[in-house]
Parts: sequence; C-alpha cells; structure tokens
Amino acid sequence: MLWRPEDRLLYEYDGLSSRRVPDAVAFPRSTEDVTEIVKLARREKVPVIARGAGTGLSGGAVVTEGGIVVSFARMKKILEIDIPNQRARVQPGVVNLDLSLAVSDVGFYFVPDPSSQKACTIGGNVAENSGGPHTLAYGVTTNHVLGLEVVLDDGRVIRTGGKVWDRPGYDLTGFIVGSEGTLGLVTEITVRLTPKPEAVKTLLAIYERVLDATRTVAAITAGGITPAALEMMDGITLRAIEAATHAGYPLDSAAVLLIEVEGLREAVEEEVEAVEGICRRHAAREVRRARSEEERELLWRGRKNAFGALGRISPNFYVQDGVIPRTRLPAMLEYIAAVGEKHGLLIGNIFHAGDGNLHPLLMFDARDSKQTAKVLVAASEIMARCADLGGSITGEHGVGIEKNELMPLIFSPDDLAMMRRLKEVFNPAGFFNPGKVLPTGKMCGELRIQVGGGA
Amino acid sequence: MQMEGEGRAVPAASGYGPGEKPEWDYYSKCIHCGLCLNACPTYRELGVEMDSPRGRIYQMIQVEQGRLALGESFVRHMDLCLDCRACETACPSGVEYGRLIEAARGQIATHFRRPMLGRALRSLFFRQILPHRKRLIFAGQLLRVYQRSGIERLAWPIARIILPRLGNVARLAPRMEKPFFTERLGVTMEPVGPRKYRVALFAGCIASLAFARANEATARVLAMNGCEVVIPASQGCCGALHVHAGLRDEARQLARRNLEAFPPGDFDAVITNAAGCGSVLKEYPQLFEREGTEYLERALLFTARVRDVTEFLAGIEWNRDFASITVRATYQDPCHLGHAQRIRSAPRRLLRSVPGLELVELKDAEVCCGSAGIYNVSENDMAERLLESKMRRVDETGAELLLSANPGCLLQLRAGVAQSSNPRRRVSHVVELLDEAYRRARG
Amino acid sequence: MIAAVETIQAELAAIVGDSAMSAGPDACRPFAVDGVEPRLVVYPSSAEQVAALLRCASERDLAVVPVRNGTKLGVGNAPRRYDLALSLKSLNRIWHYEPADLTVVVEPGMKLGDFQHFLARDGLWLPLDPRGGARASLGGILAANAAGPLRGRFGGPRDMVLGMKIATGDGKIIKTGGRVVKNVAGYDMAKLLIGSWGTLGVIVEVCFKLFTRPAARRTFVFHLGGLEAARDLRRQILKSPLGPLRMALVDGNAAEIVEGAGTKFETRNSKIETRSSNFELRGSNFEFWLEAGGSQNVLARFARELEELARGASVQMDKRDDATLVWDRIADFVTLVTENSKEAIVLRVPLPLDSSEEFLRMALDETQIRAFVSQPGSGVVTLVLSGEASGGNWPTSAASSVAKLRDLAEKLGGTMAVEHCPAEWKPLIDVWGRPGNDVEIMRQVKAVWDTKGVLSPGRFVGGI
Repeated sequence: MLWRPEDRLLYEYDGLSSRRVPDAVAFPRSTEDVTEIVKLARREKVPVIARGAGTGLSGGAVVTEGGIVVSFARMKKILEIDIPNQRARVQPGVVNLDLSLAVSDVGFYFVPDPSSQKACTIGGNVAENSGGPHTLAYGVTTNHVLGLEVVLDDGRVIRTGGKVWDRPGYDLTGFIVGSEGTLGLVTEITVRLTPKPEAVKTLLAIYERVLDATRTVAAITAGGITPAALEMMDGITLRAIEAATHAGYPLDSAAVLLIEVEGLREAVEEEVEAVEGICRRHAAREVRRARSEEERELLWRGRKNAFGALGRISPNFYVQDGVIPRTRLPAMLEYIAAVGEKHGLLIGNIFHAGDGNLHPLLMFDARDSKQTAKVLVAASEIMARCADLGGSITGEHGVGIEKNELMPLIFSPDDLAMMRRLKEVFNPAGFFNPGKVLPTGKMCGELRIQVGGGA
Repeated sequence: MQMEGEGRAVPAASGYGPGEKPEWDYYSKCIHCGLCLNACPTYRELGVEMDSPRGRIYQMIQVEQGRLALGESFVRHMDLCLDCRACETACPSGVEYGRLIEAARGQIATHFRRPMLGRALRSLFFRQILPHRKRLIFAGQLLRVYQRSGIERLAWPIARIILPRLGNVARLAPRMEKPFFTERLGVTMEPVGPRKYRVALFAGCIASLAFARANEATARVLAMNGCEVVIPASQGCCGALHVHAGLRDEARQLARRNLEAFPPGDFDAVITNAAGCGSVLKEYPQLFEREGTEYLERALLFTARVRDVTEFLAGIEWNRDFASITVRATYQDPCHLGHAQRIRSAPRRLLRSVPGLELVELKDAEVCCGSAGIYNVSENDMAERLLESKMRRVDETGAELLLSANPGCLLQLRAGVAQSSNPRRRVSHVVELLDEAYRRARG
Repeated sequence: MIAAVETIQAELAAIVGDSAMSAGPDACRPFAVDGVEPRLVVYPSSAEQVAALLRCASERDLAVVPVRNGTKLGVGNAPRRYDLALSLKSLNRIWHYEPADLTVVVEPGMKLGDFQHFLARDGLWLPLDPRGGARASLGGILAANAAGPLRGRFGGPRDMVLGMKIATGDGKIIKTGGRVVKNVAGYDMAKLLIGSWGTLGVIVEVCFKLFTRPAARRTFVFHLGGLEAARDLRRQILKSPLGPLRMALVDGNAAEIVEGAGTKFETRNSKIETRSSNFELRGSNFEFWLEAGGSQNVLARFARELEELARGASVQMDKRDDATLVWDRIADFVTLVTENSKEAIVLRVPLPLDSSEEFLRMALDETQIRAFVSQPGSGVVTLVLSGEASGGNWPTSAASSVAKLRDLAEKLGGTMAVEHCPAEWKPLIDVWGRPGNDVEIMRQVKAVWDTKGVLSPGRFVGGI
C-alpha cells in the first residue's frame, strides 16, 4: 500500500491523460488481499479503481473522484498452463505478450495482440475487451476468455464460466469482459490458447491513391478471403513511422496496406496469390512480400510503434477510435480528409482496415488553445459520422472517461438505463471505477485529449 | 504539459538548481503510453510506477514544475535506475531516456547532499582513483596481492559480519590479471598479412587491469583482420561511470583527455571491446552541447569513428579462418550494446561464423543482468534479483559457454555462474572466443 | 391475479390483431412445454408488437414462453406457469444485408435452413450446426447458445453476434452492440441473452458476423477399435496444423442412426443387450468422422496426412465426397433419437477437450448408455440413456445414473445438462445441476430484465 504523496502522484495518469491523485495505491498479491482492500474501501466509503499497466487510451485506470487504486502489477503469476485442453489460468497482472511467450515453445499463443502487448496486462485486456491487428480472423478478448474470478463490492468472490464451454446459467463472463472495471475486480482469468498457424505470409501493398487502398480492403473480404490481419496506413503516418523504425516503408506513397494471411501452407499460398491479384487490380503500385521472419517483424514493428512514432512529427496528437462497416471506408476517409481541411488540421490515418476500425490521429499543439478546441470539434464530427454510418464510437480503446458523454450518439436513453441498472446489480453505489462508461451528464471536453507532449 | 483536473498546483518554481537538467525538448516526447514498463528491469521486479521509465520521467517533470522536491524519494528512484536503456528500445516515441536520467543524476550529484559515508566512498572512487592511471594500477596491485594471499577468504566473512549490507559485493571484485594491459599503452601492433585498416584501441581503465587478456585478444583479432592496431599512451578512463553517476564535470575532463589522445583523422576507427565505454564515447557530444566549445566539434568527429569491436568486424569482410570449436553457447546482450548502441546482430553473426559453435538464444537476453556499471555494488539487492533471474534463463539454454561483450557484464555473469547450478560454465567475451578460434586454426 | 381469458384476449388482439392469435386446446397443444399448455398463442409480426405484448403480459402477470419451431422446447425445467406462447414465426425478415461487409441483420423467427440458403447465393454462411438443424430458428439457437461440431473451428453463437435488439419483460426495446465487427461501446448485453433460454427478454433482431463458405469439402471416416484409438487420433489431429471444419466420434448405434440405417432406435435392443461390461469388446465399432474444407490442394493435403495417420494406427479410413446429410443428422442427433424413443434420456456433457474419451470410458460402465456422439473439437459429449432394455424401475435408476454421470463430468472439470427426458420424470431428475456461486447475481440480472418474472418462469438453472 502506498500512502506517501510523492508516490501516489505517479498514479494520476494512464495512457490517455492525467486526472487526479488517488488517496492510496494498493498492490495485492492474492485474491484474499483484494478482498481485504475492497472491504477496507467499503468501510471508508471510498471508490476502488483497478489498474493493470496503465496503458489504456480511454482513461479507464485514472481516478475521477479520489479513491484507492488497486494495481495488479504484483499479481502476475501464470497459475496454470494446460496445453492438452488449450487453456491457461492467469492472474490479471500477467503481461499479454508474456503469456504468448510462455506457451510459444509448445506451439501456442494468446490471440488478442493490442499494440501495447509488450506492456499491457491480461486483466486490462479483459476490462477493455482489447483487440489488436490479429483479431480480424480470430476475434477479440471476449472470444478468448472462458472464465473469471471476480471480487464483488461486498468482498464476495464469485467464479463465472470455467475451462469448458457453456456452464448452465447466464454468460456473466461475457458480460464482465469489456465492462472497464465497473462491475468488480477480476482476480483470475481462464483463457483459451490457440495453436500457432503452420504458415504466415505478410504482404505490403503500396498505393498512389488512398481510395484504391480502401477499395482493396472491401474487395479482399468480398473475395472470400479473411486475412489474419489487414492494416492500412496513410502517407502522413507512413513517413513518421519510417523515420522512427526504418521498416522500409515507401516514403512517397499515399497509402499502404499491410496484409497477413496464415493457416495451412497450401491455403496460404493460394490466398497470397489471390490477395496480390486483388491489390494489383485495384492499382497497387507495388506489392512486396516479406521473405523472412526478420522482414516480417520489421514490417510489423513499424505498425506496432505507429502511435509513438507520430509523436515525432507533432507536439501533441489525439488518437481517435471509431468503427464503420468496411464497405464505407472509402467514403469515410474522404470525410475525415474534408474535416481536416475544414478545420485546418493535419489528420493521419492508421487503422485495422479489415475490421473497419479507424484510428484517425489529429495533430495539434496543446499550447495553442484555439487549435485544441478545433481538434475536439473535428473528433466529435468524425465520431458522429461513424455513428451515422451504423458504426461505433469505439472499437477497442473503450469508453472510459473519454467517450462516456458520447454514448447517446449510438444508444437511446432506454439502452443506457438498462446498462445502468445492470451495472447496479454488481456495483450499487458507484463503488468500482466511478464516472466511467456511462454518461455522467458533465461534459468536460479538455479531458478527452490524448496529450502527445508534456505529461 | 497540460494541466488538467483538480489537485494540480499552480506551476511553482522549479526544484532543479543551476546546471544541466532534464530538458523539455526531451521529456516532452514522452506520451506516458507505458510501453516501456515491462522492458524496465526494476519495474518488472517491483511493479511500481515510481521505478518505471515512464514514472521516472514523470517525476523529473514534477520536480521541474515544483510539485516534487529534489529530495530523498526522488533520489531513491533515480538511484535505482540501472541506466540500461532498455526503455529506449521499447519506446515508440524515441524518448532519449539515457540523456534524461543522466541529467537528473547530474542535478542530484550537485544539489543533493547524500549521507557522509556514501559521499566519501563515491568521491574516493570517482574522483581519486578512476581518473588517475597510477593510482588505479596501485589499487589493482593491492587488490591482486590481497586476492592471491588468501586473506580474502579470511577477511570477507568477518567483513560481512561487521557490515552485513555489503551483501555479496565481495565476489564482484574483479580478478586482477597480471600483466596489466597498461603495459601495452603506446604500443603499435602490426597486422597479420597486408594492412587494410589503421585502428586505435581504446583500452579502458579497470578493463586494462581486470580484462588485460580480453584486451590482448581484441588486439590480436583486429590484427588477424588486417588492422594495424595503435594503443595511444595518453588515453584514460572513458567517464561512463561518471556520466551514469551524474558527475558531469568530471566526465567532461576525462572526455577532453581522450579527445586529445585520439586525434581525429589519424585512425579509420577507434575500437572498444567494452559496450559501456563505447556507448559513452559515442555520446561525448552530449557533454559539450551546452558549452558549444571546440570540443563539441572534436567530439562529433571522434564519435563518428568509434566502433564496438563486434560492430567493426561485422561491418568488414571478416576473416573466417577459424578452427572449429564444438560448444553449445549462448549470448547475453550488454545493455549498452543492445539498447544504447542498437548492436544486436553483429555479435551473433560473428559467433555463428565459428564452425562447431551452436548458438542458442537466451530468453530475455535483452534484459539487464544487474551489472550496470557500479550498480551491482551500489544497489546490490536489486542487482542480485536480476542476476538470479538471468541465471535461471541461462540454465534453460543448457549452454556450456556464456558469452557477452562488455567487461562489467562479464564480471556480474561470472559471479552468477559461480553461485549457479553449473559453476563450471565458462563466461567469455565474444572476442576472446574469436581469438581462440583464430589461434587454434594457426596451431 | 389472473384476468379472464376473454379480457386478455381483447387486449392482446388490440396489439397483434385477431388473426394473429389463437386460443383453445387444439391451437395450444403444439406449444405445450413438458405437458404444460398455454392458454393463448400469439403471433406478433414486429419488434414493437413483441414489446407491447410483453408489456401487457407484465401488467397482467401472464407467464410467457417465446417459441418458434419448438426444436429445443423440451430442454429445461417445466415452467412454473405458462399463459402465453409467443410464436416468433412471423418475425422472419432480413433487414440489412451487406455481403461485402460480411454482416446481416435478421429477425429471430427465420429458420437456419432458410437463412443458409439465402446466404449461399453469395457464397456465405453462418457456420453453425446446432440441434434442430435446418428447422431450428435463429432466435432459438441464440436462446440456447446452441452449436454442433462446427464449434471447435468457428466458435458458437456467442462468437458470431455483433449486436441485438431485445424486448424486455416490461416491454422496452433495448439495443446492444451494433452492425460492425468490432465494438466495445458499453456493456455487452447480448452475451447475457445468448444462452438465457428465453428467461431475460425476447431477441427481436440480431446482427450476425458472416463467414465465407469453404470452396469444397470432403469427409473422412475412421473405423476405430476403441476409445484409446479415438483419443490418440484426436490428439494427433489437434496437434497437426490441419484444422478440420468439424469432427464427431460416434459409437456403433449412433453411427447407424446418423447414417440413416437405423432410425428406429428400439430395434437395436438386441444388439445393445449383447454388450458386456468390458468396454474394449463393446467399443469394437466406433467411427470418427472428420470434415475438411478448402481448396482442392488443401483437401489433398488432408487426404495425404489422414491416410498416413490411419496407416500409422492401422485403422481403416474411407473418404466421402458428399456427407452433408450425415453431418446434418449428427447435428440433429438428439431429435432423431427422441422422436423414436420417447423414453430416452439425452445428456449433454461439455468437458475439457482432453477429457471426453476418459469420460466416455468411465461413463460406458453405466449399462444404461445406448449411444453417444462426441465432438472431439469442442469436448462436448451427447449421451443417450434408454430404459427399454433395463425395464423395471427405470425412472429411478435413470435418476441415479444421471447423478452419477454428473459427478463424473464435474470431477473431470466439465458440466452436464439434461437435453431431453420425459416430462413426467423431471421431478426426479435435476436438469441443470447445481448452480455456481454466481447464481445470486444471475437472479438479480433476471430481475433487471424481467421485473415481473413473466418470461419462462422457473425453466432455467437455479429455478430462474
């Protein structure tokens, strides 16, 4: 437990922004410790906020109105690896990539691979229902979590789901995954392990026009191919990434698609040919194939480090996260460009194209308050358009404190009231992670900014 | 820095004093994304933000903004940093963490009063011994006599009773290797075969005493690759330990001496076999940035020529007349080679070219072994924890030979092996292995 | 407080119209659940009508069971009370269909067969082969989270739903999720509905994620001598990179049923009686079915590797180019069995992947087991118990067998639910088993959705 102000200070931020210094930070090592903390907090009537690695991008781990931060950094044991049954049981503080590395020698991995996978924890993935580039073919966190152990607000410990499919009863596991720490404290997670594919091929398709790249995306899915990953980066982001990682991305192109197909060797061979054909038919200037594991890693390193790389070209930037149906990509990108032009903002695009999950990056200088205001307006416009196109305001970053006030864009008062009532079943008094997910009625625009400079 | 929410004080006066300090240009690149966390050995061990790279940078900013004092808490967390710079490898934003922590330590060294004993020892080591070759040799001879006399076995148990905090520091004392390499200073070695390059060898201070054989091996390996090897007599300590400890002025003095000892233009390359030295040699310009003196220009020219020995060899068509050495080996990346200089494939490529040698990858090879300059002495507990994890990983490889490319790391790894399940496992520098392969080939 | 049928009838008619409602024993009997008949059957034709009906039912305290084809109506406890059968027959439209997006929004009354037929035009499908087969409705599949052998490869309904509209017990229409493949906005309420057996709300619209149909398929059948051989084969296939579409392990009796040779289950009695307690003797005719999908090259690779496996294990293997019918019957095995053997008890046992053969080995010592179908790709075993062979005090002995088998399943880390048993025996047999320590939360969740407790009361686990 940390009480000293100079230590607590370090828990006022996460990957999104900083908010408020917590009253205390606790470091449980076991479920029993967590139970004790919850009971203590309840006695003292202070909220409890769960924290994994603090890499989240929607403010899920920051404190809104004081309380105890429960850091799971020391609950990082892999409790069981059960290869014959393709399952593992882990504590929430286990780092995402560490689990995959632990089972890699026996040919398995844990599918969700958010860009922060080297640091983020599986507990955090469960809270946010994290995605990643490779969830296109295999699903997001919720598709890979089978059971949970959860500490409730009165210190009760429940187990939901388990190693096998469908235990009779409601799928509370599925409901808790993605609830952003507002329903309870998850203290143990049973996940599914997936065999690594036999063959993987990675392609880089290079385009002179953004439109050709976006059309390719729809054509690939329509062509009956589900790549393991299908990522797009536009010229602005490409140049920043290249400066940072020297991945060999072409500097003069308008957009590239990073496409990965995996599976049985024979299927992969055929799909690579088919994908390459589709790319060329949609005016790809060049299609490169990674010839070795090193080349493949290099191409991915660029993608995975993209957000950070953008920090090099703009003092601040705001990463948005919206989803639209894939076929609307061409129109949506034109719309984003128009929004940028209207407000005089530079907007880069890098996203999980295969899922229609956009990440527009709005660049600005936080020291210029007019520009900051414009960024917020532009971001809201983009979100509103996502909603209009039948999409969502967040595909993987979560709602947190960033978008809770935008929820009415896609949900009716009845929908939100139902969510609130369900939340109250677990969390009657706003005890767990207050002020997140559901609208609070207070609109605080400046809080929703990803600060790419300073702290 | 954006001020948000409640609980934020109005910007107060900076907690830093005069002199170099962490600068906005560098710390503002940090977007606290957290990707560095799991790369940081101290965060992996302790799991608290204060001992993570992101958290340390945040603390530096808080001191600048007057929200945090340049006091014990701050110093504790800055001290615990290994300066291994694994976070730089992990950082997508290109934050130069080494520069920041070194500046922060500069502030601590000048403006924070440490307890008496620590201060005296630091002063003795950094100011009175390291910079002076003769004193260093004298100290080395004393240590050697002591190591050979058997007093060691007697003295340490007693010392540890009196000073339990000394922990296992004793076994980290470098073995003195007579004859010291200092005797070779001023010598020039002829190449084997036609001369292709003229290079200068940076001998290092402690390394000249404790790694005299590795230095000789380096010179021979270079000679085998067509190098005329000059060992300038006036060279001295590189100043890396001073930089890490925040002793910027002392480091600058040492740097000036070396910049004069290795006149630019005289050599195709300045070669070092010590990753820690190499990385600071390559960063000499940082020491002169603020002054912008003639030394900055010299430093830039000098830096352009500095090469780690593995980097140099892998960059030329290296001589592959190796004898076969049948051994299962593994390689630990020195932090200041892998993270600070980004040299990872060169040593591996060289090793793979030795026939018979089976190189197995070490899991977490990029994680610090706990050596980190004098860290294993100053922060012995943490260093021991890191070393234990490292040895577990080494055991997993089943390698009989553990290789690395930095004297400091080799000392730490030898101490680890001595305590491990397989104390007979050999620990060598990569060049020593290459040297052996050349020598066996030549009979 | 139950109002007179006439009053209610008038109120309901005002919502759906006279023609979309029927009363009387003849109309109601087909909707009976475990012998309990409703008083009225209504056929709403829109989501709004469903909501209005539920609002009315809540106000009047009428117990409602949502139903379409009734393929799974026999699962679960008998309802505590039952006034209104809510047929979703007329809700069978497709709203948004975007083949290029691989998404579709559809109403719950659509039958799986019709739906697959519709999607096939664009080379797409919903890779589900649940109990009820082509006749199962999408709504029913979701309510049961029903999946067959395809689950090992594609996951179940819970992995294919992108969004939903739900009419709650008190007549509100709630939306959750959306029409895009990735979405983390708000709580994933759809997960609660999937597998809720009609106790929380009525799904009135669902958005599915679609898949591309495999270019070609081929089925391979291994004839195995025992469960050990089955286990070894499964392990080798799961270890290989092949990734079949689906797999099924059947015993000799089940094989005859699914291959259409022996739909008359009773006629197999003589054979059953010859089974001794020695498992190895009984297990002389197991079949391991495997379907592969993909291009011709992929199928050729399957053929090569599977032939090698068969040779290595010295077992016989056949190839079949079209086994669709058999796979359909495997999926709908429960219906085939129960239609012909009214007294049969069918158990569904989800187990850890590596435990299904071990479970079967021990379970087969229970002499009442007549046939089984196991899904090696997902660990789910379906067992048929039948008393016709044992006679005597069959219901009592069956109840003790069920309890024993449940213990066994739980010991191996699995669970067990009764998929079918004669209604009159249900008081003796625990359908769902003991709920976990999350049942209190479940009760509270139920109360949020269905404030008055009118939806399928008492049918689910823990009497929910």
